[in-house]
Amino acid sequence: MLSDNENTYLAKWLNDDLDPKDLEELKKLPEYDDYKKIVEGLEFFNAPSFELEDSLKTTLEKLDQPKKRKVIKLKPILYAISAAASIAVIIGLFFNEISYTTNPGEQLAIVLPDGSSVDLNAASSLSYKRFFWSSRRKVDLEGEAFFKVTTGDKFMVNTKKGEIEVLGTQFNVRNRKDEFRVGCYEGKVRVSSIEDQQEILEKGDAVFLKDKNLIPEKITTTSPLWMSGESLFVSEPLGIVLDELERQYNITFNRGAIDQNQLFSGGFNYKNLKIALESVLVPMGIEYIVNGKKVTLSAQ
Amino acid sequence: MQQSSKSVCEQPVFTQLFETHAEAVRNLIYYKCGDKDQAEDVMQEAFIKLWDNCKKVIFEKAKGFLCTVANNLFLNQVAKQKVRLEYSKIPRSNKNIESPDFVMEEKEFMNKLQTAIAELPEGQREVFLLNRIDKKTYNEIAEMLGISVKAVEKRMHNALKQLRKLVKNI
Repeated sequence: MLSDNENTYLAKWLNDDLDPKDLEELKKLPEYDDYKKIVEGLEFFNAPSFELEDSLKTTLEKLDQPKKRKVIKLKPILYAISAAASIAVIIGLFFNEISYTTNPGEQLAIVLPDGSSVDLNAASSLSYKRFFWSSRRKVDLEGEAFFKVTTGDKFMVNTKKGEIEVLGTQFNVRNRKDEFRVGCYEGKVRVSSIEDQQEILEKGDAVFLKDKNLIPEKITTTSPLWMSGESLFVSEPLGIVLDELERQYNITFNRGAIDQNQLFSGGFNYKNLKIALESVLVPMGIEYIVNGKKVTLSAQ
Repeated sequence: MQQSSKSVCEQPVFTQLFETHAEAVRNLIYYKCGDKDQAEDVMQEAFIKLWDNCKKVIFEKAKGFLCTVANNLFLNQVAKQKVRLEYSKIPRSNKNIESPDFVMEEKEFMNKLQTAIAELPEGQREVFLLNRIDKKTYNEIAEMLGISVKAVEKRMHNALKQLRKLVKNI
């Protein structure tokens, strides 16, 4: 029987799947001619044209963009290679730090990997990390040095009393026992003391640390005097001057009972110990006896 | 079904899949929305999804994947239009006599049929047209739409009944 419930005789008919008995029955239905006409009519309908070539081309073009996002998984061999590389890097890190030290009476010129140069004064040391230098230009300094920094990312000089941050410039850092002094000879530097004081120096500016404050001063020379073999002091405690003499000539003072806090203005050169001692000690009224590397001082 | 070694991630395989299925998928969407450009876009997007997921989809399942994805993509797009299928202007060859009256009548009938198709419910229309125009078997349609063969038959049956009513203005 052709009943609509649970029966899809039209579907079967369309599929040429109707059993003959039902087909006869269907043909007797008044609707049959309509169905037949509809089905015949449908033969003349088409889907819109499809341009396979064009469509494929645009699809493949669209594919090209997301394709780049695809994550390429590492092949096992690459794991091995990367493990080996990691070990190499770890070993490398142990030999990463490079340091230079000058003994008293020595000076050293250093060229850093980016072409920046550092002149290291006597009894000073400088160290930096070799790897990734160009992305992290930072040196640790103890003592005194003059920097000529090539342009690039910021360059940091780290000392125990403060740090100096620059772009491309020339400047001198003096970080001695009781002294922290930065002079800018070209460009611009920013000095931050460990007490969080900050000062921006331009060409000709200098600062020194006194009682935890950064005190500005001016420089008149085009390069630090020590680089031309001289030291100059303006109203500095004698102790600091004596320290510098010790560093430059690799001598030791037996300071005895002299007053190291009296102020000294003047200088000495690095060429001749006899003249240097004379130029500092005679004006201060201090007698001295040189015994090899030892110099004994006494007030007159 | 035997697992094939063909990887969808290889471009020749992908191209082959496109050549085989692109039109069917395009039509599947077209029969729903009646917008050729929208159907084309949805189809292309489905193929892009296939490529993105080429590692997860095995070759034999690609067609099902494409149909499902295209379906879902389409459902996410709101704009739907009436399906106005074009019919070819070829005169009906099985009729010997073509009196002017008869030609007029034929033309009128075809117009009515065209409108009737447009008014069919979406589910019935896509099944009916996939079968009648694209000559897909009930099995294929069931696979493409993710429904049972029984449901396909039901829709075929109801679609034809509905078409008659629409054409006859019952």
